[in-house]
Amino acid sequence: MTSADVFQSPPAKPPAAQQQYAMISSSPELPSLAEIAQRHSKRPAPLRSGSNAAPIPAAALTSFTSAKDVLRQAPDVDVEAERSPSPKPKPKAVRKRATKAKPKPEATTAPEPQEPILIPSSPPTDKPARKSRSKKAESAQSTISSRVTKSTTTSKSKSKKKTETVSRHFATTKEKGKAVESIETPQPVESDLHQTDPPRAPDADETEVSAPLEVAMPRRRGWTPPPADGLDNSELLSSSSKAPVSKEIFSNLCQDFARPGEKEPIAKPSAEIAEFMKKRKLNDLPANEQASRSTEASPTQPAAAKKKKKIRTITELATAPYQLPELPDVLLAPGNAETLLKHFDFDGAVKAQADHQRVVMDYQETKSKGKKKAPAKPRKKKAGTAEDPILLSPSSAMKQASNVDFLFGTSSQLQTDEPAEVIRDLQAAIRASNQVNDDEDEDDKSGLWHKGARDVDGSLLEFRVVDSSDGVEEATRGSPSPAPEASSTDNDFPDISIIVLQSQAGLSSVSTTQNTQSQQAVPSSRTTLPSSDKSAMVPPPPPPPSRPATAAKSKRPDFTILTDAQLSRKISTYGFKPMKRRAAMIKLLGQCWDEQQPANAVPTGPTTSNSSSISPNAAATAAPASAPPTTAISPAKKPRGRPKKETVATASTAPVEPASTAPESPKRARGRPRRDSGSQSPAKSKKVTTPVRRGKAAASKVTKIEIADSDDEEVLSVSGGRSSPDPVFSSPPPLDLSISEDAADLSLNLSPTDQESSSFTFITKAVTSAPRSSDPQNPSWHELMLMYTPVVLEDLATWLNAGELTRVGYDAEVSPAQVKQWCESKSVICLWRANGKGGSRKRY
Amino acid sequence: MAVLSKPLPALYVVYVLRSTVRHASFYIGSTPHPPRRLNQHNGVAKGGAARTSRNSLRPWEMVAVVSGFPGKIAALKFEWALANPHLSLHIPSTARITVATQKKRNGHPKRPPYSLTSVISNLHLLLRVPSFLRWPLKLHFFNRDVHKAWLKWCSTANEPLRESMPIVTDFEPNAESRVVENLGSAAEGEEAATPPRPAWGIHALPLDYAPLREIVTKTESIFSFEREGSCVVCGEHLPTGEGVYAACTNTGCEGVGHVSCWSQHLLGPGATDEVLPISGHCPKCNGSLTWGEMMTEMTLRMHGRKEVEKLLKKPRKKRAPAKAAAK
Repeated sequence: MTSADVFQSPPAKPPAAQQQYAMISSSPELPSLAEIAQRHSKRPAPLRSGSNAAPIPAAALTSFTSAKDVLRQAPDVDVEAERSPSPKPKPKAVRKRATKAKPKPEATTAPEPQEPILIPSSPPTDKPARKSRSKKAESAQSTISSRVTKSTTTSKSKSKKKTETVSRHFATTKEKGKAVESIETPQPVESDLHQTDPPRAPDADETEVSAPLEVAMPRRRGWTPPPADGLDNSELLSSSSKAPVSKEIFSNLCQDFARPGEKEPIAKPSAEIAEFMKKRKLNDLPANEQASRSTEASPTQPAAAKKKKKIRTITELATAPYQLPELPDVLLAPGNAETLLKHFDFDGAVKAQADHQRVVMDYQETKSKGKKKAPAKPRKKKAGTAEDPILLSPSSAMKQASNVDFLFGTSSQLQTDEPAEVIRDLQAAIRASNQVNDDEDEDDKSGLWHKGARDVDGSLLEFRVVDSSDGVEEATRGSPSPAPEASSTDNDFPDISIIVLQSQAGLSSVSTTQNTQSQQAVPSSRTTLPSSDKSAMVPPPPPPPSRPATAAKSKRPDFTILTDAQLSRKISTYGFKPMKRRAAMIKLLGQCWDEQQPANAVPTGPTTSNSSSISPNAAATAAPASAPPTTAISPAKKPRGRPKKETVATASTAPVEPASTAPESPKRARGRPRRDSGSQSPAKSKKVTTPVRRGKAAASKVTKIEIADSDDEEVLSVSGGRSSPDPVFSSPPPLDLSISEDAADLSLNLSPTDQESSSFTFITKAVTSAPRSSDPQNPSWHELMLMYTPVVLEDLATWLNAGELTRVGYDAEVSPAQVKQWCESKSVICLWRANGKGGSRKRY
Repeated sequence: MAVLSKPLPALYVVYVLRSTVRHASFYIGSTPHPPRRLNQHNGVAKGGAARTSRNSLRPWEMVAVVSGFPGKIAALKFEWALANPHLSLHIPSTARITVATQKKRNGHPKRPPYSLTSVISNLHLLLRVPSFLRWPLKLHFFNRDVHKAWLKWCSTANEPLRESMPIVTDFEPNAESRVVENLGSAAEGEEAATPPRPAWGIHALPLDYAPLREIVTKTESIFSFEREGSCVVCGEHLPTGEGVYAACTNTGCEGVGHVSCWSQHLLGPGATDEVLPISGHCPKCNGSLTWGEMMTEMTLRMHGRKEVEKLLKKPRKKRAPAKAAAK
């Protein structure tokens, strides 16, 4: 405002004034005040010309660029946050508006004489800025208005009219913005105003007294941080003296330190070559230079080459051999061409020619861009020829690799009479049978990690190895292949294309080739079992693989409901060691479930060469056995998935037994009130749990049986494959699983419990049949137990193993843990000599 | 194992403590001396558990007591199992009622809070599990509500307690209803009825071997005068001091036999795979027997000479005044 006027003074000032400034300035490096003033004064000028009201606010901003400016801005923000919702000025507005509404212009003019500094600042912000700045302007204005109203109200001794006019002005402004709310008591509002005022007040004071204090202003500029909007200011400072020098230094720096000899060749080639070198590395450079020397700007699409160069991926590396002819194009890149031309051109004629050619080429190139896209698409559709093979992404390559069927054999084996079709059909059937697994594998998020897992044999990848007497290549040549590509491309990648196509083509042909399959079975079984039953090879054709898969997925229990103990138990039933992390357990269980589910679902499905691994007797029972296992296993599994204590019945859990499901739901409902009052519910919940546990026990038995049967080779291999968490196995034979589990069920029922019970009975026998002691101070073990004396397990186990068990006809030894189990089953009080802390008990 | 220092205790109980102020607060403990322990819990005596030290929960009452534990170890086992029904391995997983749903900070499963129902149901369960099934236990209820809850639970529990499990109720005297539901409770503190303020509940529990005095007196005479005779079961001669002999606890019956013979007899021919008998009948007098009582007497006779002397001294004193009175 007023200060701006002072700074506005022209450079040619009375020397006294200048001296004054110079003496005051505390930072000599800074440009002289006069300069600054000049710069500042330039800005307000155009504003002032814009409108009559403009100059003052603009000047206010520029004049207080220092700490005060910051100060002023900060409260503004605060005030905005505080005020925008607050209706402080409103009560007055309401109050005064009730009196009368006068035209606006009067309001703006009226306060002017009274407060020359304040009022001019407020109206200009009102009118022009309101529309543009919207909220902020409004809030700022509201603050100002509040200040003004306050000042007017406090100075009530002055004419009432004036206050009214002022307030009316604000009332109108308020009206536009918000709906008016009436507040009865103006006093608290005023107190509020007092609170919010202080940040504003100094501003007003300073502006008022600015004239005498002006001298101090420049001083502050030196040490206060530059204002946020003071960019121009800093620029001004830096540009005053030092900036040009530094610029020079930086521009020359490279030059000074660079080797003069090398600099020229590097600097000359255009930016494109530099870019190109960046990407292609230096070994390409010599070739370019050679070419540049030997060739005379042969015009071939430069831009196209440029585009190809941009992609430096594995794909491009792989296709690099095909790009060799395009290398010279690089030379014709606009910048490059020029340097070459310069080299050969003396009179400029060549250059003109080249330019013309380049223009033509560019035109052609732009035209050809559209053309090129069209051929590119068909190429992709072609799915790769030998000239232009498709480079797959790792995952898809992996996928395809897994689809590749390799036939291994000696040359004599490969020479046999089997047509390739048969083999392919066979493989397709195998794939169909395994499709379920693959599908679920796809769903699995683990992805490549999962695939990275080794299987039982330690082999990393799953290639389906079909040991057949035919080589694929031979077969493809000899047979009429259904796919056109197969016949056309007999080169490098025949297997993939043919077989993939075949697999996609559908599995309908499988059923027709059953006879050949059975023939095939004999050689194919060489790896696994020499005596594969052919009858097992002729099961019904494979069902659509998607159906069992979806069914299995839908039935998958929610393992997250289970407690940790349940999870670990379940995991142990699958034959895994207990894990600590709950998430890992859940995931593993999910995998196990996924893996077992298709196994259960498949039995109706195809049994191709997979079934060759079944031992003859197993294969004979395969067909009848396949159906029952699915039914038997799934109920065993479902109870496992059920939350034991959860009161909420999950829909996913299938019925355990038809009888038990009916009482369950009421029990569950009652299960919740158990804690507070009802004693019935726990009983019922207990009843519910028992069938569940039975299922678990059955499941645990299953695994145990598998282990027991491990001496059986086929079962071992199968069960081993099954129990591993990796569902992607080269050839998981579904039938085998069910069979082995079935067989396991039988044996499992006997083995563990039987062994346990027999050992228990023997322990009992040994204890009770031991001769009674003749010394009352040294009773026998039996007498000790009868006297409720705590039995030391280690001692008892030692005693039992020291001949007592063999005496009663039990050949094995018992561990103290087993003895403990026995004791607890007999209510015999027992304890360990060694306590948990490693010490031993001395008193009993 | 030659460490047979002590006879079976006269009393060892596992008790369920409940706050009389806040009925949802429970505590489970074990003690050979319930009144003393209760005083400790209530702050009357030194040494209460910190869990029961809050004044707002005092006074506590023992609402249920399981007595008859054949020693501290047995009692502690049962106490821990009852206090940690979510962890105890004595409870087969198929029958577990209380399941931990939360974890403590150290990762161990957190025990769900006690409630009357949970305590009662787990008590019921633990009295049925094989680890404790054949122990000579006895169940006391000293609070009507708790007993009601117990009865309610018993009606809904899918498995009953063993029939020979004695269950005794002893409520506050103003509503005296002393129900002896099963056998074996006859020896219970009947003599406590005489004091001016009749003892009830835990105060009526026998803290010493006094209930056995009669039996001890009888067996003492048998063994001290070497009148063992022959085993009532196998008929073999019982040379004095050359074996572990048990005697019939019924009054007037002097049947003595090998401990193992007794156990075989009481177990019966069917239960060949059991070791511990629970109760039965004397082959000589055909009176009912409890194995716990027999063993208490026997161990007292074998290892508790001091206790026997103390026990047998008292009657003399009593007799002395009686004699004096008679004179």
